[in-house]
Amino acid sequence: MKQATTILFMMLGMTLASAQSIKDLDFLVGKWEVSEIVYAGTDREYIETGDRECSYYLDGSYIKCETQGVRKGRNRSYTFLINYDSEKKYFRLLSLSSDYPDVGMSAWEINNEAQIIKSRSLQGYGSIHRLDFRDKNKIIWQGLYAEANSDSELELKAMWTETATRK
Amino acid sequence: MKKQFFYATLMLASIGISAQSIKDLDFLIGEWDVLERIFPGTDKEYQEKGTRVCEYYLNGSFIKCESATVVSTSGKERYYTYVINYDERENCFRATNLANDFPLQGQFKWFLDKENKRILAITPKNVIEDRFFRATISYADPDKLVWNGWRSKWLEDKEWKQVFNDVATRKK
Repeated sequence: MKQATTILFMMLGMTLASAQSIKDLDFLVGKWEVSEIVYAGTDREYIETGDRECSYYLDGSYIKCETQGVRKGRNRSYTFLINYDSEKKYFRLLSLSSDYPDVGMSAWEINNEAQIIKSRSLQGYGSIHRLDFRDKNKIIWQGLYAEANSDSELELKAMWTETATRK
Repeated sequence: MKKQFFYATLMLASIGISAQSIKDLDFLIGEWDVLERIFPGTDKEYQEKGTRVCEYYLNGSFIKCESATVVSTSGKERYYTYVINYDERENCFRATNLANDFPLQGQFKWFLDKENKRILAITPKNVIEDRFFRATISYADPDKLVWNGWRSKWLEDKEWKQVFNDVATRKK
């Protein structure tokens, strides 16, 4: 009986440890200053700056992040809507932008141990993003692409790097 | 010269007629009382009653409609949102929905039929891949929008089945 109880508690503990929810992204909630450098180190380099506000949405089932940015002198607004898909066991990110007609859909997989989120497109675009949230007041978000190095090996490089600093 | 001017005017006029923008859905903007019947006319019928607010969003490139309703059978509150924008490349509107009680987001193409004052909606690829949805939204009465939706399940349904009837009555 005691053994059965121990096993039951262990199973319950494992379930609780692995269960995720939108609350796991609570560190996103708040007001942020955002700076994004695109094509860093190339002649196409530019910087977009702006403000972001993230809050719970739709009865706490989503986190909504709304950003007002300025890119090359033009105002841009975009929104991320993030929820948790308990069946697929990943977070879903919906992105909407004032300057692009496609609504993006991505899967976010969170690694709590490394404090990193890996993001991949659910629309087959092959893009990979990486969010580093080790510092809860400075989140670094990179859009990555693969490029062959001199040994013909594929290397992941950052196409853009965004730094969100908590206000 | 006169002939060229005539053709140029004709071309401009035709572009003017076919070009659409999010502003063509301006009739959605406002505050609404909503009564939705789910599975209408069947023994499974139930209602959702609530309010809807539609406004321009993201520098006016989208319309966002946020609804808050109460389900008649359970008394539970439901919250859901539609975000709608215009896709120039596809010559159609795109509507995406999200809800507090379902993890997947639905995507629809909306085609505006100005002549009949209605929107024809289809799912290009539904989130549940064995189901097909279509809908019509009538704005013949600008203060009462009538939204009807039908579903067909692959290999199960031989005909379209109506799944909802949503009537939005303008408050403001």
